[in-house]
Amino acid sequence: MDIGERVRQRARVQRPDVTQAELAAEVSMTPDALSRSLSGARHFSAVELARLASALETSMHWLVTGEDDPHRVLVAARHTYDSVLQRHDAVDWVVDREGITSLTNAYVQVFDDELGDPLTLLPSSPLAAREALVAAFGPGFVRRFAEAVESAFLIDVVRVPDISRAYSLSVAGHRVIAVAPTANWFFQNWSIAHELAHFAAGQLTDLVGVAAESPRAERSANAFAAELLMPAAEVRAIDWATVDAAAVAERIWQWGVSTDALRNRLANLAIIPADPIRELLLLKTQKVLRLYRGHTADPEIDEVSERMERASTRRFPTSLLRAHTDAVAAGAIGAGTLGWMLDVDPLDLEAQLAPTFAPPDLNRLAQELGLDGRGPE
Amino acid sequence: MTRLHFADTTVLINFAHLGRVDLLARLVGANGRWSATVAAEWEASADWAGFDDEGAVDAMLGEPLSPESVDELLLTQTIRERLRMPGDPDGKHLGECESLAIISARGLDAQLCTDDTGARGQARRLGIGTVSTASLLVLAAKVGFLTPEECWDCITALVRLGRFLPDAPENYGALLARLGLVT
Repeated sequence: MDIGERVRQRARVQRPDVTQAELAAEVSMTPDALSRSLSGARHFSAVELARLASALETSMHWLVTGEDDPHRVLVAARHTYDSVLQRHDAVDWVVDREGITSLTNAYVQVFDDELGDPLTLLPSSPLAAREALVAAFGPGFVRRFAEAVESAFLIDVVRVPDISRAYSLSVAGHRVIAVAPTANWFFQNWSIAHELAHFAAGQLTDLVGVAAESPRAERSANAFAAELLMPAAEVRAIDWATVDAAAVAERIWQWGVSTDALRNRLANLAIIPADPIRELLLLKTQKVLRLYRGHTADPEIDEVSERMERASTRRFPTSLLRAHTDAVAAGAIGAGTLGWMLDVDPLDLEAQLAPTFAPPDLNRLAQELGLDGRGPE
Repeated sequence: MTRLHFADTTVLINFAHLGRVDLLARLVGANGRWSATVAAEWEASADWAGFDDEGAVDAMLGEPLSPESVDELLLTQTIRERLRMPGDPDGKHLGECESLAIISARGLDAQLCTDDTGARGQARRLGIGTVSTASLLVLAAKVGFLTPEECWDCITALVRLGRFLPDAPENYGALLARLGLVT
């Protein structure tokens, strides 16, 4: 089957009510040009194929080869959970497409390698994963969760502007967890732990399949996240009938979770806390921390604000930033993506990083264009 | 003999803004070439900007080249992924990518004519030389089609129009000084 036949086949499936002339107009071709290209009498240009791919809701790669794009981005299924209606809804990922595409291009632009070895470093058990994180960054690993995940499992963690929720994806030989910047670090920690579960379970799929996945994988990932961040043994070791508010606030702080997450965890473990604690866990996380958790001795240090700031700034792995900096300095790529990652003007970066001006060889150019012998040397 | 392959509309639009497509045609002679996607982009740009140089550019660059093989189309895609910057619309850079893929896959003797920083970088990566608007203007001064002063006026006029010129214009001022420019 050739390109023309694939375009016809796809049009029959996706746009059965659209005539060939209407499709031609939609992709800015004349009916004659489209007709001749479909029959193989004329070659498609790149822009024509790109427009056809968009109109027929497929990839240019499939139109060209009939196969899935080997560089397509694989992501884990995404759903939201409405706790009031107790319902999982598929995410309309289109709203996050721009941010995810920019992120994946950032990798493609500087890394050529194919996908590496399987994720041998990431255990399928949340407790084993927690042990690896503790080994890498100590018991307080959650305070530097992104760095700990990168160090322990070789999975990049990025905080990307322009996305509304977390994704786990595989691109250009790298596994990446992408989360949205937020002041609520506890939600972000949960997202990272949840995405780790998708990697551990090997649940990456084509972006086009995202909305069709079952919410079962989401529930399983949430259970993984709960055990990773709040191990059942640690939760059960606390006497929830007598524990005071300050101790609970400290646990919330150390585990890096929200009051909602802890409340759900207790319910799932069939633990019934004393009434004051049950009421406490109905409050917002930040309110509990400010009301009941002690401050540091230094009045200049506000740990909550510091944690908020860290979680709300964009973040990219050093290896990715360095690769882009080197490529811009070598003149191999523009600084647009590096500027996006650093949230600075790309022109300022190029002014500092771009290669030294190499004057054109005018004599040679004149010779090659048949203009030699004219003008001064 | 090498050909000047116009990889996008940047250089064409600059000469059209200057009202000097005739000068570009004189420099290029019979050595110009472009691809189908760039021809379509130029048609759209010329219509939008009201340039009346469509016929002159068509005559200068001739019948556009199209990708003829799966390999050329796949290389077009690969280069596009490398060139895309955050916020770029889907179709951006297709002309540069198609041009680079055709030159590279067919082993053509060509220099890429563009002011786009990313396309110049990809050309370098593929071992393809590049030519910019400013270097063509300085070439015009070197071969006597422009005086150095006229050349400098063109460069500064483009800067005033807000047109992006790679390789800071003052570098070209220094080159022109060697050709006798007095500022």
